[in-house]
Amino acid sequence: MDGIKNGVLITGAGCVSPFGEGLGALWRGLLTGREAVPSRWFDSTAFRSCGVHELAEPPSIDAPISMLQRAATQAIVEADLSEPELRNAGLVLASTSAGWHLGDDSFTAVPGPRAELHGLVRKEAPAVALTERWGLSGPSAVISSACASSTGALAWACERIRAREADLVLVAAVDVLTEVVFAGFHSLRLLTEVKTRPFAASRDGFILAEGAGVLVVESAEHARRRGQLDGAALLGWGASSDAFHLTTPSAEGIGRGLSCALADAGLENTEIGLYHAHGTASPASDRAEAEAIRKVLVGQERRMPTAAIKSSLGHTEGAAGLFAVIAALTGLELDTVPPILHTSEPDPDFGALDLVDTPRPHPQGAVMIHASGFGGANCTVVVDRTLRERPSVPRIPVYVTAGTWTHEGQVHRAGWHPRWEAESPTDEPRPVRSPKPDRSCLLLSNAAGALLGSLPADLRATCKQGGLLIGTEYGMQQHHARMMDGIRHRGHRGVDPMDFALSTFNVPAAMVSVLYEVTGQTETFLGRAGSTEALVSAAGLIATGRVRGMMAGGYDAPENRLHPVSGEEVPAGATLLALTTDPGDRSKTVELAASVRLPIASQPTDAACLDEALERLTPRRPDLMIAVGTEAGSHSGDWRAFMPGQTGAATPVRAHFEAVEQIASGDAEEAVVAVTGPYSATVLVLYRRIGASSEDWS
Amino acid sequence: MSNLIIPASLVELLIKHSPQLRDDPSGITVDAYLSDSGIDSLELLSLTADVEQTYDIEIDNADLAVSVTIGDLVALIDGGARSKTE
Repeated sequence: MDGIKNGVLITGAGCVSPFGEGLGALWRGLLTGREAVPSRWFDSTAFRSCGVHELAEPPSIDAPISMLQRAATQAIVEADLSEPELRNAGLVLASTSAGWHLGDDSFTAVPGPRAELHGLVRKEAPAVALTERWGLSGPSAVISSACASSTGALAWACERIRAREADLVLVAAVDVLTEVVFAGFHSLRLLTEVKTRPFAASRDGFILAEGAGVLVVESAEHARRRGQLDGAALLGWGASSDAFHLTTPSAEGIGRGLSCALADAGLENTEIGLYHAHGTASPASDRAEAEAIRKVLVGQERRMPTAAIKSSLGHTEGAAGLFAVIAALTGLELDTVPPILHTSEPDPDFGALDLVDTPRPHPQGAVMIHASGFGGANCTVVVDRTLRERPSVPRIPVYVTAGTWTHEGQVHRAGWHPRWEAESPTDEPRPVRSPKPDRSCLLLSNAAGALLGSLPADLRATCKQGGLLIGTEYGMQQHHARMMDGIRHRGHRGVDPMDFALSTFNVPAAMVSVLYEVTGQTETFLGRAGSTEALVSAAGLIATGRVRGMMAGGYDAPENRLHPVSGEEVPAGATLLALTTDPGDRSKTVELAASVRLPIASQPTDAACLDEALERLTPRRPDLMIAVGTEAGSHSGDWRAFMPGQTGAATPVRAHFEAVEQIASGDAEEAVVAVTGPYSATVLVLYRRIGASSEDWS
Repeated sequence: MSNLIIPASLVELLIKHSPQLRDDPSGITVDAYLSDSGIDSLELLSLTADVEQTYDIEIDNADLAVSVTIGDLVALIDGGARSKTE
């Protein structure tokens, strides 16, 4: 691997699964499978289902944290890392269900969760616990993009390392069995009553499972410096949105993700030796995935060797992608492909797939691992035994082109590009039948429609192809509360599938992608700073030449905050910015110049720490310094508090508007916006008038 | 199919799940295809959940997979009702 300095390695892995502790137990389980059992978290016996795959240990309130800590310890030991070596490491967590394992405490607004459970109801809690336990100080984020969350987390880590923001990132994923999600999948008739049989003619859904996984992802340079020579190569990733339907997958959308991953890895399709499928054994999902494989990966000469570990492990929801990556890495190391169990009668339509139904020697070539999620989110990663040369790309400047925000039912627009049109009609949405958009979906859709409508046609197309990154603090939890209420009052049949279809936190972004044909990546970050993370992530993807434009922002609404805090208001709103590489006529052009990410914490970052972070961002203090979410909500030092007392991820983006507006109007040369909050990462973003300084993106 | 009678309670559910049938109830016939009545696959799952609740029956996946007309739903309800009284 000498000479490949910008490569990304995976140097450690750990997991806790229904098969037991560690990679060895997982691998043995993948070869043999296991019988489903009734859940101990809740009574699963009344549902049309053969049971679940649970951990051996009894359920506990700190299960997500405990599972992740054990998986992290394994991964850190395998990577041969000391605790001091972890100090600068970053962390990204993928989860969909953490926090809902507390049953009624998770969903009862009054009197709310018992005091000792307050932090645990948040999905971000395991990330805070890992950060505290290992003293992590690098960049962090929490991603909840349904079942594509954990491959998305791996992609996020890859970008942090490629950008040299971190040498080391822990990629964590955890999901636990929860009654509300189990009943949701039941309402959509996605739970098998027999076995998980991916790509079989008789497939009828999956067995729901739980588990946690952690990967140590590291720059090749860092690994070499510390003498770590073992590790698989993370060659690339690709993401897409189906832009088709919230719960019916699209072969075209999946295929875009696969193609994007191939391009990022610099590979031809013939160089993929093995495909680890999402393979949920749902009739529609397997059909779409098989068609995408046929179109993108299969040439004239061969069928695509395909593995699908849900046949033995079951579906671990947001952690599913990471488990498949762990299986792929273990298979490479042991030179064996884990078999698809229960596929004696493959669907005759899937002739392009070479379904691996008994363990066999690992084929040559790279391994592609795919995950799809509700809403049509797709993220695919490519790993191999060795790194490949990757051309370095000069940083491309990123400009703030336009934006929109909603306030009391009205959509407001702002633009800083000469061809931006304030009065142009909203982009015409495509009709959608079901599910109907709820308020959060409508807020974000209205903001997106107005934003796209105000952009010139070329930039509109650029942003649709580029994608949409979103942040939220409270997600779509009103639907989970309604589902739980249905279960309590009407029993196992009490869940409306429409609620489940709208429930994942990425649904508003997915709805926008369906309505406006946004075919690029959609990703949803959690926390008050989640929308700022979305902005910064979008800027990073543009700056590295991956896309030429994206939309990014946030949404939140009070009905989704299940546990109100006195004195804090959640305005119902959505806010979006369009970032592109087009500087326009440069007279009002504002560059999103640089950013710094601070680790997630249970308390907001204070002004003194923001000052320290600012020194990493720019050598001189900007004219305008705005802080969102700091304690006390008042001015602190040079920081101006923005909209104190308002929570949620939509409001912070308004602070970015203000920074851009002041620079564009000539009132400031540079401005910094810092966003923090409880159970949130902290992100600082530096904006400057174009040409104000030559300092590069960092 | 022509011997099947659509219960009034099912008519209510069909109208609840299909604006098209609400606007034109004459489309509620045993031979009408659900997909032509503004009920897509997700809406059908929601309708089915209501049917199961209303008639206290279980409709299994295989039966639902071959239910394409309103009459097919009526048959499932009748079959479910019969099996409960047997």
